Parts: sequence; C-alpha cells; structure tokens
Amino acid sequence: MKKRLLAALLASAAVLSFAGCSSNTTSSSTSAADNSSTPAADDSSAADDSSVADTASTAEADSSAAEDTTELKDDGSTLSILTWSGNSDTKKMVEFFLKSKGYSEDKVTIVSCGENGEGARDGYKQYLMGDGDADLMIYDADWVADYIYDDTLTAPYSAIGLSKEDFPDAFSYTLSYGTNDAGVFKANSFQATPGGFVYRADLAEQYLGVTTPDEMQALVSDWDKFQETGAKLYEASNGATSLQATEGGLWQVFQSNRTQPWVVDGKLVMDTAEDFYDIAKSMNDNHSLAGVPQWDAAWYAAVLDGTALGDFVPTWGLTTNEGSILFNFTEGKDENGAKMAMCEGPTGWYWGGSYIGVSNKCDNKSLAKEFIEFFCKDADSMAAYAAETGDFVNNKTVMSTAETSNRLLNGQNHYKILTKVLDNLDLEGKITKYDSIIKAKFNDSVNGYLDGTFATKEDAINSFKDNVAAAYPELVVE
Amino acid sequence: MQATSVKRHKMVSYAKYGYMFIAPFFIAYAFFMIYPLINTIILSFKGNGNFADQWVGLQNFQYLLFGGDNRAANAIHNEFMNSLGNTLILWAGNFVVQIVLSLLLAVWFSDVRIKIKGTGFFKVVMYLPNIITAASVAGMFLMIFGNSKYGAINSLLLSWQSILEPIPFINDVWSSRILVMLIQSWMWFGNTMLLLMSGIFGIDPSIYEAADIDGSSGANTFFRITMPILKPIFIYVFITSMIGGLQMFDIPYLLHEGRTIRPSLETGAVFIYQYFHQASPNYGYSAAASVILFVITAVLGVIIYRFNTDSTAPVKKRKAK
Repeated sequence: MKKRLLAALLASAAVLSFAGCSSNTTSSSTSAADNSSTPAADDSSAADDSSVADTASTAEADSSAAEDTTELKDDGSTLSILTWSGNSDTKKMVEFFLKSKGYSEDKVTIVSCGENGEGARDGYKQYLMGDGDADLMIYDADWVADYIYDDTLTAPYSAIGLSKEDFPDAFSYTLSYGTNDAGVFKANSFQATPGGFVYRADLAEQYLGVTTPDEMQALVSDWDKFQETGAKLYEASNGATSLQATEGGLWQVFQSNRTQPWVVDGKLVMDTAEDFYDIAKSMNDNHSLAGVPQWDAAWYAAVLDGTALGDFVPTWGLTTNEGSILFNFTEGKDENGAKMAMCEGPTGWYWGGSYIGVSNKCDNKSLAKEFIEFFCKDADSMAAYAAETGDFVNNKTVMSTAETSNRLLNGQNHYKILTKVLDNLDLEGKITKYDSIIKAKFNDSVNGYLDGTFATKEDAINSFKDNVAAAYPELVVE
Repeated sequence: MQATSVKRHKMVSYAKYGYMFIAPFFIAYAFFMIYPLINTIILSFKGNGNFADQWVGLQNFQYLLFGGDNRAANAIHNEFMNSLGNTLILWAGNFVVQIVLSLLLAVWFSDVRIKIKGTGFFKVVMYLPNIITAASVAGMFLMIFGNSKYGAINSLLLSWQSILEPIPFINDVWSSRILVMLIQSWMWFGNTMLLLMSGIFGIDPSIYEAADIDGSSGANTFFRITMPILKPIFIYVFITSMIGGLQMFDIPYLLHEGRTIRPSLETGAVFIYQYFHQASPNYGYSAAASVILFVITAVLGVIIYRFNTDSTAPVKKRKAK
C-alpha cells in the first residue's frame, strides 16, 4: 500500500512540479497596522474614502459604453499585485507604499508570474485562469494591449472608481496607451518614458563647434537638420565619427511621428513609415549612421571611442545604475560622464515603460484605487517616490519642478529636457494592439534594406507587408 | 503483507510493483509526449490568431506547401519553403564536413599500426565542444565574427589593413550559413567520431591481420573491410544526424546581431518557433509545419533504412542456403 501511495505521489509530483506561479508574500508579519502613518498619508486615505462612495457616479459619467458591466468586490484581505520576479520596481513600489501609508506588510502581496516581462505576458493568463487572488497587474509597454483588449481578464479603471479625468497631470500619451479601441480606459503608467539625444559634448564641440545642449538641439531639431548635421559631422571628423549609433534608436524616435495608427479598420496603414526607409538609407549611405547593433558591446564601444557621436536614450537608460545605457556609454566613470550631454532631438517620443491594470477578479477595489492614486495621481507621493528612486514619474507638475544632477551627463538636469520632449508627443488614438509585432517586423525590414538583404525599398516594404500578413491572419494587407 | 501472501499459497506476482515503479515515467510520457503529439496534429487543422478556434481542414497545409490566393498565404509558403531549403543546406553542409572529419580521425585513432599516443586525451578534447551550451557557442562565434569593426576577426583584418571596411560575416547569406555549418560540425564531430570508433573496435582484429598478411594497402583495407562492416553504424549515424539536422534550432536561432534571426538561417524548427511564439500565436501554421517535418523525417528514415537493409539481406540469405 505504502509503495502504491509513494508511486502515485511521485507521479503526481513529477506532473505538478511544472505548474505555474509562485506567490511570495512580502513578509507575513501579523501585527496590526502600525500607527506611524504620516499626516499626508492620512489625508489621502480620507479623500479615498469619500471617492469610493461616488464610484457609481463616476462610472456613469464616463462616456464609453460597456464599462459598467464589471462589478468588483471590496472584501478581500490583501491586495495581490501580479508582476515578474525580475521587476525590482514593483518591490520598491510596494515597500514605499506600505511605509508611507503606515500599513502592515500583509496588506499587499506580490505574486511573481515568470522571471521576466516575456514570461509574465503568458504567466498572468495562466495565473488568472486558476483561482489565485489577483487585484492589480503590472504590464510591460510591449504587451499592455494583450490585456486591455481582453475583457475576460481585466476590468476598466471605472470599476474601481477612476477615470481619465482623475489624472489631469499625467503625460497624455500614457492615458492614450492604456485605452483600447472601444475607448475603455484600462491601464495607466506610474512612469513616463521619454528620452533625448545623448551625445559626446567634447566631440560635438570639436567638430560642430557647439558648446551647449541648446546649440546642439538647434542642429538636430528636425529630421532634415538631423541628416544635414550627420553629413557635416562625418566630413568635419574626416570619417571618424557618425552622428547616430544605431538604426534601432533612430526608429524608436521616428515612429512617434505617425499621423495614423498602424491598423485602421483592419487594414495595415504605412503612413509616414515609408519615409523612414529613405531617411535610414541616406543616413547609412552618407555614414551618419554608425550601424552598430543595439544591446551589443559594439553599441557602447562606439559611443565610448567616438565612432558615433550619440544615440537616443529613454529615461530608464539614463540612470546612473550599473548596466544602464548611459552607464555603459561612460563605463560609469565621472571623467567620461563629464564629456556627455543631452538634448531633445527632432521629435517627441517614448520608449517602453510599465503600466498598472486592474484584474476583473479584483476583490479589494478601494485599496487598489488607493495604490493607483498613490503612484499615478497624488503629486506628493509621486514626488516623494521620484526623489527616493530617481524614477521619472507620470506627473507633469512634479517632473517640471524636479531637480536632478546626473553625474554621467556632466551634471545636467535631464528632467527638464525630458518634460519638453513629452510636450511634443501626441498618441491619442494611434495605439493598436498590433503595434509591438508590427514595429519589430518593420525594424527587420529596414535593417534588411540597410544591410543589402533587400535590393530596393519596394522589396523591403513588400517583405514587411508579407511578414505582417503572415503574423496576423485577420488583417488586410495590400 | 508478506504474511498474507504466504497464507494464500499462490505464486506471488511481483509484476505489479514493477508496473508501479515504471508508472511515473509512463504517466509523464503520456502527459508530455503523447498528448502534445496528438494535440499538435489536432491544432494543425485549426485556424490561426483570432481564428484559433475554427476548424480549417487542410488550409494550413495548403498555405504552407502550395501558397494561396492572398498575400498571407504566399508569404507563409515562401517563408516555409525557404526554411526547408535552409534546413537542407545547413544540414548537408554540416554533415559532409562532420562525417569526413570524424571518419578520418576514427580510423587513425583505431589503427593498430599507427598507434597514436594519448588517444584518450584527444577523444575528450574533441568531444568537449559538444558539452558547451549552444548559447555560449553562439555568443563566442558572434564575438569572433562580429559584423562591425569590433568583431575579433574584423578588427584583426582592419589592423593588418587587409580590408578597408568590416566584413559582415553574420549578415551575409553564405558566410552566415558556412559559419553555422562549421559550428555544427565542430560541435558534433567528436560525438560522431566516438560512435564510429566503437564500430571500428567491434571489428574482429583477425580480419585486419589477414588483410595485412595478404598485403592489403591501407586504403584498400579501409574501403574493402572497414567501410562495409561499419555500414550499420554508418547508417545509424546518418539517420540520427538527419533527424537532428531537420530539427536544427539553437545555433541558427542564436547566431544574429540585433533583435531578430537572419532569414538565411531560418530553419524549419525556427519557423515553427517563430509562428508559435508570436504575440498573436499562429498555432495552426506552426502545428502544420511540425506535422510536415515529422512526415519528412519519418519518410526519409524509412527510405534510408530500407535501402540499406534490403541490399544486405539477400546476401545473408544466400549464404545461409
């Protein structure tokens, strides 16, 4: 009998050990809420109580249809936040939230589904299909669309009593990003991720004669000037230095130029994307593009040794933490950092970021709302979080007054430039759920055009369209 | 338990314990092998992306093998055919180099007349590349053959001024393919060599002695004695290499700079992975491609096996008579 049991146990262990997510409570201290809460925290939770009462009215006030169907409970014991184990932001946020509110640690549980963002993308779905508790979810910008289009998994913000009007200070592109085709607002970001053109100021002075970021900005303020400057620089440096390191960085910026979404009425729309083939090609041909691959040792080396003057870097690449893009450009050394500077570049753009969404299993809606307001709405807590972590929080007022001195950017206050970058960015109605794949396919075809895989622009465009058609059977591609 | 079985005065069957002990394996096997296999075949008749729940009959196979009247079908057809061609080229190139090298080494190492010292050491050294993870191998070759001037070979050639512009080893169609062939042969020739050596050691030494006494030359001994007797091992190596080659995935998938794989290196297995792993998963296409690869492998395996066993079977029968 024992043996049979053991065999059955072994067999089931073998099978079950493959199952999904691990839940690790931040810590299971059972002490009641300690009373060290700050006055500010008390204020916001009081405000919170009153707004819970008019949840229904805000939901009604919201113009979009099909939102009110989700009824969420408010009797859960703990706020469960789904994330991935490599996401240190979530951990920091939860700790900061609990500390500033004076809550006990069992008030919030972090559930890790997968090790990285890609793992969490599928991991959440598996977890949500089970009966584990889930209130909020952290999405990566690449796959926000997977969830905000899926009504079986997620609830709109209106279900916890929030609407777009509650975030007047948010950078508008983040609100567009979290809204699906039907106009339902389902996710907002706690961080904005604009970027600027980071360049070698010493080389810029030597070859282009510019001494300040403002002067540099005048040379790269639109795409024509950007290309002209590239040609000029290559000539002035006698072929030693190209303006831009990677095609990928160029494209990250250029794609924010679109006037229409990638997909309109189920059809692929090229819009301004076709121009990018010409820009990239001409920059490649006149050596304004160094052509090193992104995320490669060659990328960092190119900026460090002056093969490329610079590249476009977003907020999360501008930190002084080891491994950030800027850190690699300068090897983290102050003397290299003193040679760097940053300007806005030709157009407003963003790259990546994380978003917070609401699960339709959410049984803790007032605490969920409190958490989102803490990180996306309340200026005080957002400013405190920014000061604590150096993150670029999603609040215009906070960021326009924030002060920083980046030791790897020669002490420049890069927040000032980044808020300006976002002023030029409007993504309203331009986001589709197809974007991340389409962008990747587009980038492939441009790279293929540059390295000679495709002889002509037409071949490259054709291959791009083929790939999109093959990836999305439901799209019409002409 | 023992007491009761003695009382029954019967032969005690211990078979059930045996079944119990092997049960975990078969349960896991059914769960992880049989079920996915059947499910793959089912999926190959279903739709893709948003239409994943619909039955589409043979449409996936039609698109993959013959294309169709729309852009998606033709794109998929071209990509799949390209991937099959790549698989064939990469496998054939790798197999020729690998088999010649390992056969030569196996014969040398096992030749009693040459008596190479330290064969054990060489065997270990030659088997070592196989132990390294494919990811590390690809990473290493990417550093050596990097496209830009920072690649090891390019920076050497540039500093010697043998070239003016860096050579795009990884981006070029044929140089990338040759690289993959070389990497694959380098990784696997040690393994093949050991298999062939074990085959050669299995040959009765008295045959070699007889040949020696009869004055057979080295080449003659090799072609008249070693090769015919080695044939079953040879067929085994050929079939396993072919199956492995049709599933070739890691090195072609990893050998690229930038974000996506090189079209010139997209093998059948990479095709399947790409379509399976997209944000809007095209399970139908990848399942159908898997089934096609499975059929190709099975058919080729049967043909080669038949071809080789039939030619020797009648000889044996005649001898028996």
